[in-house]
Amino acid sequence: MKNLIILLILTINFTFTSCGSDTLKYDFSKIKSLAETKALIAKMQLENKDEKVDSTSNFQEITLKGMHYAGVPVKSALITDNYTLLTTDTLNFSAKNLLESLEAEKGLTNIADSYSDDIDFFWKDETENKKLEIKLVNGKHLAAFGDKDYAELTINYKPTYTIPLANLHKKIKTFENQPKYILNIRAYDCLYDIILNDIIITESTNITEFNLNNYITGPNSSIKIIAKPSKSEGSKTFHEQSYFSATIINKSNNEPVQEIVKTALNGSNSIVFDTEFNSILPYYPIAWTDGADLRNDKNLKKKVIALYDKLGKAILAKDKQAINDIFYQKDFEMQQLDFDTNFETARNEWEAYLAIQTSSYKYTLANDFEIEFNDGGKLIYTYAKDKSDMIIFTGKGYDDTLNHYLYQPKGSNELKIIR
Amino acid sequence: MKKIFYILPVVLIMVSCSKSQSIDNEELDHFISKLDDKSLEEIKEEMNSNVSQFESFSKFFESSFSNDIEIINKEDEKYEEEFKIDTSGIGKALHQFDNVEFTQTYEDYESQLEFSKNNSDSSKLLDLGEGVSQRFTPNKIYYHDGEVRTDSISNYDVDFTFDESWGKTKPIDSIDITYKVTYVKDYDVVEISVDNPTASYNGGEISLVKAEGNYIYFTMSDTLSAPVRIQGYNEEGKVLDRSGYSNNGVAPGEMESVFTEILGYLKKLQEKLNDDDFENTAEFQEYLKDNLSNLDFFNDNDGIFHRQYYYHGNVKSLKLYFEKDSENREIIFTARNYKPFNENDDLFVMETEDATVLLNNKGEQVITLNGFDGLENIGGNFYEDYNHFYYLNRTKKQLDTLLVYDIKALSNGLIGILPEQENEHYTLVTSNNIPIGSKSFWLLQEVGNIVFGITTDDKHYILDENANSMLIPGVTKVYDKQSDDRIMVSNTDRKIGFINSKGKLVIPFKYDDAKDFEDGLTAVKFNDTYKLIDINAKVLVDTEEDYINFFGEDDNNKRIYKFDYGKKSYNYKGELIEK
Repeated sequence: MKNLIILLILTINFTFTSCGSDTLKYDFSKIKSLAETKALIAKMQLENKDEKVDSTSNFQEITLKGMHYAGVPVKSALITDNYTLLTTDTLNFSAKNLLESLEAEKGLTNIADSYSDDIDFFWKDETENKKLEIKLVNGKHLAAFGDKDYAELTINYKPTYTIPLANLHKKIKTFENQPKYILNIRAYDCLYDIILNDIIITESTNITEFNLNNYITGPNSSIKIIAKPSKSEGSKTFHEQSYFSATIINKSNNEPVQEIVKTALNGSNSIVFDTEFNSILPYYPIAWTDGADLRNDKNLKKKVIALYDKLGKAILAKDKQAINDIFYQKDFEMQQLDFDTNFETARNEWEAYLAIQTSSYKYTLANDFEIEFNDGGKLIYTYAKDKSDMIIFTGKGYDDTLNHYLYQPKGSNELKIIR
Repeated sequence: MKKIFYILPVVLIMVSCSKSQSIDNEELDHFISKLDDKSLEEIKEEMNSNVSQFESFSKFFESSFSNDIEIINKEDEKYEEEFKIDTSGIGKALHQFDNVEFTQTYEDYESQLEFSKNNSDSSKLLDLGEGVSQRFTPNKIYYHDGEVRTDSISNYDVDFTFDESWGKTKPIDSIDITYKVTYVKDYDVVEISVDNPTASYNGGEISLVKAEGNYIYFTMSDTLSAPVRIQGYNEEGKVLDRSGYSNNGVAPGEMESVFTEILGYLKKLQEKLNDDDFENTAEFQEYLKDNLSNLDFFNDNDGIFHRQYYYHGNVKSLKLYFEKDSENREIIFTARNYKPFNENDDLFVMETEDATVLLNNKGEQVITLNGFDGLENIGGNFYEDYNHFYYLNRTKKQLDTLLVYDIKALSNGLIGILPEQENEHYTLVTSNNIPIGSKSFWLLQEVGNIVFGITTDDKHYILDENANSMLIPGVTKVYDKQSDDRIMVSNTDRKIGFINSKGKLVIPFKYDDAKDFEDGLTAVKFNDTYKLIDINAKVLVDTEEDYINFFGEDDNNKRIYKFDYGKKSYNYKGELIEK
């Protein structure tokens, strides 16, 4: 039976060579998705019955004549489920011609870093990534590629998402001045809490850079920082060399906005620094500004659980519209506050939600948690006590957790995720 | 379905290329009988789709079959040693089976076994020289349920590379196997050359037909047994290195016509099928049987065997070594199941075409699960496939899906489950999924056959099969090896000591560095230098060295302690190795 296996191996891996017409029949530059690639293979199959092109294989090399990319003849096409690799001939300035075609189609791009002697170019957009590798045969001659240089073009088609959350970048407004307020901290041997606009954004941390835009809702902001001894090696007092300095800068032009403090720390008590600063932005989010004061809401705990339960159900049910609705406002406001029009940000965020959805078969909620009230009770954050986080997604060898700032729009009886 | 018909060209090729004997061939009959339950329509469809594939194959085969004849430059000639009987490897070959294991898997109601040598040599068989042959014969199969089988087992294949079929699906504990080495003790040499092209031997004839450049072609009577070795010589009498060969019942140049003939035959069959020349499958089978024997390539009437050889040099003569006398040596060894059946109520998994079947230790079908694929036992009644974990509910004869993060089976029979996250505590259950023990553990660690449960505050407990936990005082880390009834452990001050397999601290925490024991000895560091101690912590040697490099190995794979970049070394007994 081993002979049969050998025979099968011999017959499966074919490279097809055609002696058909030389006309340019199959244009890969018109292909925009894997489905269209499969359709093109089917066309080749129909028109070249003698060559037995297999339209079902997920790894196939085709060398039919008549293949081209916008008029540049393609010698072989390797087509897999993940990418298409086109290789041109080593004749007639094919590398130069292919580069020109791609520049006409996609615009100019810089030469990318390459580990080899090849010259690489890279184009990336919402539907596809294209990488062109120029293989120099005539010698390294950048000014004009030689006649024998050839090229390999690798194309990765991306899935298209119609869901609004994956297309946020189209909604992002841009402005002449787009400040990005950043808190920079330099400190030694201490931990600190940061409270911006009465919102505790972090506690007992030693992280040195914070994006403040996400917590700004108007032109005037307040910031409070509480520095505490680090308690390393059991110490309850500041080390004699402890110091703390904090400055707010505008990262869009790297100009300082406000110096908060620069001081040595001593004693055993926490030290509080607070100040106000001009937090002018061309756009202010609605965020929790119209939120209800939740401090006396007797049903708040139930509402928190109901929100995370709704999220868990949406993820397990793979209900994409429901997932979109739960996260849209948060993701939109955060991307707008970052003035980020890059298509990849929203796409990556959406694919992260999809990854949880694909990998999970169960979710678990925290039932015992502490509620922290911010900004006059309009914004809450919760700390799970009986679980590691508010919602845990579990799959086989997979886990992920989520926890967000929540608010309740006035007139509504339901909490919403906002940061 | 397609596979069955695909076999026909393969069978034809095998028959034509190997022996060229009678058409009454077992493989062919077997193939024809496989068509019993096929309709003519099915056969027709399959034939149409496969003839073209065979066409491609035969093209490939023809073009790759022959080497080129060429004249080799003197400086490019390559030589080899003259044939001699070399039995030096036989002793080692006979001793290579001291620790043989096999893996047993089950598929479509058959056991599949693959063997491996589990000693320091390669896991594959030793390569023996020219004129030495080896054969394995299974004598006894010890099944787990107590059955000992000796009949009809001698043909099972002891293969160290592939899975081979070993009959019924029933767990095997061990197998007794005879290993027999046969080697040539005495031989005759027959020589033919361009000047003396013909020789008679043992009532048969050997004739040189053609010698050109690196190529030589000769024939031998069918009645002669195959030579042990054939060597080619250049005109100076140097033994040339061989680059390729072809042995056939058919004369060179006729191979192409064999393929043409097979293809022609298949096409004829295809045409007859498409013309509806057969009433039914039986008629078609009858036609196959009658017609195949008329094909020329099955009728080797010339009584000679054709051999073509290619060398890395210009070949002028040949020496053929025929066996005159041989000798045998044999041993019996036992191969053991790599993953033996543990408990008598364990079930094992067999994949069939459409279901996963769980069988008991007698090979009886207990539960059939349709729609499960790639199921593997984790331990006890717990299984997993690519996406899920399962608990086998024997009462209901069903698999219950367990939506948990991870399941870990421990050697003492306990099962640890992480319900939601990697970053949480294992809860313990029995192999029947009943919670057991009062504690949950941050980590479960197995050293040798001891299971340790570790809590977040680094406390280490030994867990028995009933999940009773015994605290080992002071231990905050357990190292991962047990030998000489000693396990290395350390405390909060990072001082190292040793516990025994019962968890008792038999060597207190006093070393700054230490290695695990081997052959009753190890190296430990205290008071600034390394000492070699025995398992009772008695210092045998103070090496006076403060830096240990690594362990080496002597010829018998025994440990060598090396210090100061190898300037000072001790053997496994603690004796200084003289330079």
